[in-house]
Amino acid sequence: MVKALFFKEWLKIKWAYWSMALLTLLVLVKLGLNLSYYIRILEARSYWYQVVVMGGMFFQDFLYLPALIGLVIGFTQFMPEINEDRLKLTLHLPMKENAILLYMLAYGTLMLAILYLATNLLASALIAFFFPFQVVKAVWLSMAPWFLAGFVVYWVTGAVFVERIWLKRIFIIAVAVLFTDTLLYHTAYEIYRYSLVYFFVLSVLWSIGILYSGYRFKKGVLK
Amino acid sequence: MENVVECVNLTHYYGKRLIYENLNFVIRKGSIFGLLGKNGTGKTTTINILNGYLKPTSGHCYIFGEDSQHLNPRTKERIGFLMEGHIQYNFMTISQIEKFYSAFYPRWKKDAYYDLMKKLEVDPGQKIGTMSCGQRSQVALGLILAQDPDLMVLDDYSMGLDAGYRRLFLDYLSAYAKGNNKTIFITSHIIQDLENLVEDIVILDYRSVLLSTTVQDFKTNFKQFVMKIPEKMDVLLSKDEVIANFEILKDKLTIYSFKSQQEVEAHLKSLKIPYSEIQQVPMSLEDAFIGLTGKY
Amino acid sequence: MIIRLSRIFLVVLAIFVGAVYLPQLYWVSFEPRIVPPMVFYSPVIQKFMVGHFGHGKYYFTDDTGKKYNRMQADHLLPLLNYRILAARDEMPDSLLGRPIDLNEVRHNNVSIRIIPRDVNPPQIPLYPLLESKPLRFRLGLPNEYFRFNQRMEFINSKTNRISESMTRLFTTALQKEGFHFPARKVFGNPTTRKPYDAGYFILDRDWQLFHVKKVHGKPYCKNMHIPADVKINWISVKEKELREFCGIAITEDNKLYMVMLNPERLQKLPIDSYNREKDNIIFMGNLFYRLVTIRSDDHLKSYLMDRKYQLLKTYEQKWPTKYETTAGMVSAFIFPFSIVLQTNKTYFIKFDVSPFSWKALFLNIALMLVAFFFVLKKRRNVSHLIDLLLILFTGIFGFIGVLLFESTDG
Repeated sequence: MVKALFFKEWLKIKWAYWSMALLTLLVLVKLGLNLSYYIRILEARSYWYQVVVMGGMFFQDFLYLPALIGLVIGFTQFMPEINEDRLKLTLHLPMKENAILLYMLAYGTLMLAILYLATNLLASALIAFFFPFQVVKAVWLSMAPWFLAGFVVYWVTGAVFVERIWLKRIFIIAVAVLFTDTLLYHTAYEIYRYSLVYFFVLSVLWSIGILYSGYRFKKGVLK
Repeated sequence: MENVVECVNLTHYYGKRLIYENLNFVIRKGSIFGLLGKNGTGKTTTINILNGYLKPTSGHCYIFGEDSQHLNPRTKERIGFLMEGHIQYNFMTISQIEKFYSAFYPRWKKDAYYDLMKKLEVDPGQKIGTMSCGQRSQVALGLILAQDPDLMVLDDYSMGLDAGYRRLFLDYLSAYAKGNNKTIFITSHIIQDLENLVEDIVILDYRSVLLSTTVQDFKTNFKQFVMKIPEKMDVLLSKDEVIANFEILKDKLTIYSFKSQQEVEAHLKSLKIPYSEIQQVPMSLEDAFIGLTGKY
Repeated sequence: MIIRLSRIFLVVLAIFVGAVYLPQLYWVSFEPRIVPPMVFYSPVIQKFMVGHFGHGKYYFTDDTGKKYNRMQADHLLPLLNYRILAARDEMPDSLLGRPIDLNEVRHNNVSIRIIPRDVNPPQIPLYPLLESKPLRFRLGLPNEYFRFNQRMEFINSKTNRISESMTRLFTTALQKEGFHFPARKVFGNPTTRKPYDAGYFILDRDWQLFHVKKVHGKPYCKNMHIPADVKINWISVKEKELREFCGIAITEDNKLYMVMLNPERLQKLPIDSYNREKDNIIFMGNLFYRLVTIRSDDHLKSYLMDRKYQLLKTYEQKWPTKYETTAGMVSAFIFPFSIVLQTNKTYFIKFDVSPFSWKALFLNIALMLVAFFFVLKKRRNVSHLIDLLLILFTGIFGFIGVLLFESTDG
């Protein structure tokens, strides 16, 4: 049954998923081209200086990319369920309702994780071509909270769609936007070094928000 | 004979607006039950409560003995649900949706589904979202028949369907119900189709439950009397224990009542109504329904 | 039930967001400008001179309280203002019994400022080792950047490959001096905009400090043999025209040392009140004195030393912080606590949770009563109790959170 649920989710996100993968690939190509360009034009030692000593972040395209991907996947996954109250069909399936919602969310989370991991691996390989491991590691740690933000945005999108009342949706979105903002600071490399664990714990709290919305859906809270 | 569905003292308000109070009904196993009423009288509200998508202000609904708000997955397996408008997963094709649902229901009857699909003349790779209303209703019907549920809950199966598809639906439903001990719960506002299908009915009106009976009894006990009265006469008539409803058009007075003709005539005389040429006119279910609930 | 948990999580997140943004909003609206005083020392009257700037004023006082305006102060601080005085032809010929030459004055004027943000900042551990005796006198960036693991590895930026020859050269030189790999920290000033290059100071595994330079392409490595009980935490390397020292070292226990040159050694400073996470170091040196001011948000202490770094006098002053202004005191009644993620003390994002403000309990209880009587009146059960407790301890943040995400019971 879980396999069938996953099948349904895949059918919904298929096109969006491949589009986002393509978008990521384009961003990676841009990164590679830019790196090779700057190293050629500025001379390697000066460009290294910009990056290593001045702390120039050449990968800021990835700041909002994971959040965008999370939003798009969440949208394509949950919009069809809310359209014409289709969620009633889904929740009527012979499984516990909370389990259904969590499996749906787990699937999206898994697919996002795969995409994010692939992105990180490819980006690392690209950067490792031009820079030593120290830079690759610094980039990884700097981007980690941005990818965490991607998961948060996805989980929140699910909760927002399942919630039927617009005012409540706005509340959730407001708190989520303010929260996500704290994950997207980018003043220097590795600035989340001492706090990433705490942010991770707080971020994970968003993952079951959809159950609150789902419960309200079941109660039939007024449109 | 067990009761598949039991609703006890259902009362619901949307905010301050009352939908109905103290709705009580029972659906016996193997029967076909109709919830009738005009739009906005609480039919979908009741379906939502039954399916656990709405918590009633007070009262309970039990399906197979369980509270409808907390249905066990095992119990949900035995209930087939058709949503208003034949809503299904538009992004799936005919074959995908069958493959999907078959994983959830152990009694899945694949052939029941594909028999219907053959009649549709659509490409198995066609997305449901691109089909017409009628074709979609077929898909929904096929799915619910394949599930082979003990209880079918159909929220207005007729919406958006033209006569041909409506008849098809009814034929299949009848065939399904007969002799299989399957229970069916239908809501509808198109009465004429249901005449030969449903056995028990509940009729809802705005803010009240009008009637809870069988179709047989309803048609037998509820009568229509037509008579002449002087035109433009200020006739003082109102609904009371004898007159369930009435209509005046020019010189024609129509009275609907559960009482016998003698009782009606006695009542009219006591009210000093100058009537003439009274006769009882037989009614179809639809006529009776309109008679009871009114034309507007 | 997991749904209750889901709702509590949302409330907690709302509290977090409130505790971060509401105080921020408050301060953006009401934070007063606080300009701390600047301390100088007048060799003319042998007194500390405190400069008061900001809020439209610009005057000095000495440590007896006497006031001086700007023109008067110029004369009392000739070494600082020699350019202006010379232009006005008012520069004295001698000071403290000895004749002074303007070039000498200029050469000996040194100022170094170290703020908490620059101590242990986020840094990619790759460093350019400049040629310290370049043939054409101008400092230039090298092609190789080094890093430390079990060796001192040089990586060519053009090829992104290890330069084995250079690596071996320097690693061997370090080993000869007794370096124990890997390095704990590397301190330097990797810029070409400085009068000369002092190279790097490197802390090895056993807390020994080494001075490393590249001279005519060859390694210069010297073990500085610092005392075993001196554990360096950070060195701020600043090369100045005056080549007496090339930086300031901070130890793990917040003691300060000048990093002297020729020969390289540490000179302890008689400073006991420094906290590297909170305080600024303002070092001002001239022909006669060394004046170091340690300044935090609410107080400063200035240490006057002679050229041999012996303590002569100190000066202290306190002033109110933003928390002691009206705006600050009101905030203590509104916010039971606050969470600050970004401060100007460090580049790192940290969870700086302020201590609980008891004054806010008044508001907390008031909000609790409002919630009890007006908002949550329909539901009186366990969840309700949790809500009230939340409001009691998190005040306005919890109140908003509980309103935004209502309970799922009842």
